[in-house]
Amino acid sequence: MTEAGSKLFCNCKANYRGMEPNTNVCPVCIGLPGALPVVNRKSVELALAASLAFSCSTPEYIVFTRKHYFYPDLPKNYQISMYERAGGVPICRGGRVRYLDIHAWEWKECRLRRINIEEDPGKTVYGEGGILRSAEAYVDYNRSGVPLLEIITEPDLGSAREARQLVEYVLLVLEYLGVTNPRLEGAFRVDANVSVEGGERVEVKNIGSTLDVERAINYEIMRQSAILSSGGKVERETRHWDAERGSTRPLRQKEQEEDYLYFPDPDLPPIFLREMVDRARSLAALNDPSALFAQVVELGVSKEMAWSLVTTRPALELFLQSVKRGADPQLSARLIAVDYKGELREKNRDPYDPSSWPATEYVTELVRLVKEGVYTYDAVKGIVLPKLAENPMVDLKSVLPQRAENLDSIIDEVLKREERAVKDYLSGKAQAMNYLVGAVIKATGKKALDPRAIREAIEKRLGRGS
Amino acid sequence: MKSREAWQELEKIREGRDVVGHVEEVLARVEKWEGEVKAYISLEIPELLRQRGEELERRLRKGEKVGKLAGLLVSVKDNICTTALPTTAGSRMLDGYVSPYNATVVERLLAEDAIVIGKTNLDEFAMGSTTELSAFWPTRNPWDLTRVPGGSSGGSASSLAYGGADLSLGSDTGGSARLPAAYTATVGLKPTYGLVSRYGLIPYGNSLEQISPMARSVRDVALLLEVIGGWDARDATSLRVGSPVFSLEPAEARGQKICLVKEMVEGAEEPVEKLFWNVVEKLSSEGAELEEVRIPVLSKALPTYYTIAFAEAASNLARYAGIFYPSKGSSGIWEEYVGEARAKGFGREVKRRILMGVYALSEGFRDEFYVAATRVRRAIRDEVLKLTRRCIIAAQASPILPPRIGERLDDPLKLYYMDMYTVVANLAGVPALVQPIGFSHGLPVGIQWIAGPLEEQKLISLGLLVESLTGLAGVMVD
Amino acid sequence: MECKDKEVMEKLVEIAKISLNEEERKTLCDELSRIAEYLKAVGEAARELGTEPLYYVWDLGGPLRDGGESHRVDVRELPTKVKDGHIAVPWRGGRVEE
Repeated sequence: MTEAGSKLFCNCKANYRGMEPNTNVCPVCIGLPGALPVVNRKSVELALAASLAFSCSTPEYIVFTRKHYFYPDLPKNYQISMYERAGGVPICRGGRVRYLDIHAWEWKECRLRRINIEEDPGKTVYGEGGILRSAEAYVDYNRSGVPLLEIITEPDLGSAREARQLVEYVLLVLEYLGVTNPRLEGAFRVDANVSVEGGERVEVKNIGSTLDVERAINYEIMRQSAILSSGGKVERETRHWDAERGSTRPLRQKEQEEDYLYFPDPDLPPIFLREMVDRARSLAALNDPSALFAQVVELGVSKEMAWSLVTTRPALELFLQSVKRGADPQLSARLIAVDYKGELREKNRDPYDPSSWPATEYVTELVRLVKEGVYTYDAVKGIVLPKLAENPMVDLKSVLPQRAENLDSIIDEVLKREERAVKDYLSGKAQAMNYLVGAVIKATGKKALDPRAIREAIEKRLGRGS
Repeated sequence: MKSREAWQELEKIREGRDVVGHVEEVLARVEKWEGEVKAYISLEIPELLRQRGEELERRLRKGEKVGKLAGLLVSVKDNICTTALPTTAGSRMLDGYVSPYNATVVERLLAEDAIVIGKTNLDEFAMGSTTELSAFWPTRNPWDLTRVPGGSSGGSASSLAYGGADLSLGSDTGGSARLPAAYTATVGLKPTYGLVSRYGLIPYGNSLEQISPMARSVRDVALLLEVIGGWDARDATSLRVGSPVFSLEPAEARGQKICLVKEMVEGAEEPVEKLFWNVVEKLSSEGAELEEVRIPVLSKALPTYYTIAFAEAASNLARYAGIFYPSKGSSGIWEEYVGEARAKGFGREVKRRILMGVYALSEGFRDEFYVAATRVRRAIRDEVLKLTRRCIIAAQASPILPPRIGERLDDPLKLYYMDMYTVVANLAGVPALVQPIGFSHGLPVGIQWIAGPLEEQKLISLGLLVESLTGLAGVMVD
Repeated sequence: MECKDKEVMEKLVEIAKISLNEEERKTLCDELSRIAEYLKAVGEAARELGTEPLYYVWDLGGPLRDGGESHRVDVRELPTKVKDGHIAVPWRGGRVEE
């Protein structure tokens, strides 16, 4: 939950990125004796909104649980987490994610088992020899205590691609709710449980991107199938995804049943949710990507373009505002989701940064000009959008193609003068038109004219226009 | 036997008596007794204490407003975090550890111009009832140096009993402030759970314990509780109540309803029983109404208490793994290093309690032990709340007189048994006061009063009444 | 808990991460079995009472925090080994200085 403001149980920052190691720490998040946790309201509000967005049954109150295991990055050697037994009450049980398969353009469903709010451990780096051989481990506790949502699905996913699409959709929902910025380094991690018919379940840890979700699972399916088809057995184990090598490797030798000594954290009385539910519900309702997608498609926009808008929130906001002010939906969508977004990509500008996008009035104006035939779409795309993408604040008039004032009379004059070219054109020599267009532009004495518009005007004049 | 109450010292200071003189007086007591009693793990440098005294004198001379505890010397149990002096919790694990922050109660003391004189000895991590289980040394009882002062706040109690502090902060998980009070003729009040912030108290049994004011009189205890009590945003279990303000009017015996719970009265050795009944009958003869009650579930209070305390302790003490604390391992392999740091840093009783706590929480045993204990706890709490709605409970403080040093060390169960009357108030969350009622063969005996949630006032009023009967307010050794 | 059955003790020591030698294990195990025997009473009592667990003594909800100052700690002032700002802990070898 990168957007929670503070850590889950203290006032250190939730977004620690860019800070010197161990400078975002206090007695609470490094677990000094006597320090006590107090729950950050925003973490609970956001987690509750996420639970509602995924149709969970939310409890009357939540109870945090201590989960014990010794590890250098866990300062108290217990993690304050959630558990559904031994007095614990997680924020969500049950629930489901309806996610979009963007290849088949159909909604699929994956059930959720539960959602936990918990504290992140610190971050460990190892010296020479890595995790298996390094003499020392080096720990940075800046991340220790940052609120995490642990979302656990039921085994409803049939392929690596589905898993990836599910993760992407879940991240989209969380981004819309303002829970996380999935593009921040380390904003999410995925553990995938993979089993192939005839073998045991294998857990793959340390997957750090949505692309790797697909890669890691496919690798694991391949690996397990190969073992099975050569007559071997797939044992239950935990493996580590190595993104650089594109493979998984065993993490622990023997996977013994761990005993986490779960019990409710006596320092944290139950948190009642009643007062938060209404706000969280409206937050979830107003920020539902599937509803927004449906709304855009309803306006006659293609699914591909609609998806492109929804997956880039500032683009979607711009689109919805423009349409609200009367702009043509299809043209607006094309301009925003396809061509302007393409320009941003080309210029390496961040499409998720609202300041990369022009004001709504610019879009409504451009769409109007195209719609009314003042400019062709291509002129806007080829001349206006590249300049806007460079500087969305630029004065719109200064980047619009100029228009000759008395274009019709100039065309008349040129056609009269260039009788021969007209004849050639009329008798089928298409390239004569280029000459005529050039002559008109030259006669106006201006450069930033839209050649296509002039061509259309000439054609119209000669009775060939459509 | 001498008598000195902190509020009297405070009045003298406000009337213009020099603060440094008071500091010297207390330091002289320390000089006389500390070598034998060993109540303190660390003492503030005398010169610094005098300086604090001079500073206060200057402010008083200028007519500046000073705090409610201006010039009083307060000893603080060494499981309460302070930045000025190390905080060891009586353990090798934390030998030399200096907390980077002050506990909320310490901040409140300092804000009222109290002077922290030193940090007092305790059973390691407050796990014990005699203060013999300190990793450093046992503290002796000033009333009889061959005997223990009780525990785990034995250092605090002894510092008061010999006059080495005006007031003291102890902690009480299952009787740790009240048992020492009973053994040293001092007063200990375990507040309602949540009245005093636990922020900065090194936890042993979080759901049970409270930092507890200790002093030589009921009035002094009230004074200290007014300063440390009240809501703290840093402790999620602290109650949303303001700082308490107490009336110092003693209760009337007439109309006072006192319940004698058999399970908390019977079973004490003869001299203790005798003094108990003396006081109760005196109150009765002056008009108090007595009622005998039975609460059979209280016979399960001790195992219930220990099961919960062990479980919480095992969890709380997991953090001591050699990274941030003084006790280190020597192996280069993580798991071995942690095991060594913990083996070296913890004493035997702490190891026992950790292992027992792990047992009580582990899969397959959790329901039979930890969860079962929380179920019995509910029954106990409900019974106690029901009863305290209609009366104050009178109970023994300890089944025995202060034992000799070494006497109770061989058998852990014999040690646990000493808490049989005190754990009830911790399980039920309610306030309980122990005050002296007399001496048997020169050894102090105390009585315990238990009231309903946030009814500290009732305890204080009754305590003042009992003091007027016993005349034991302020007593200390010569 | 039976000390003839060494397995439980092994498991407890493993979870608690306290290095104990054979003798310590033996005496501790005997002591623990006695304590466990004593604490067993809570299981029976709970069954008889049939009450719900009580984890928080008051039936009150906990507070939520809306922000505030962080009390930053300088880790270099704690008794720990700091290397390039990181806390260095032994991992898979290398001697540790005492």
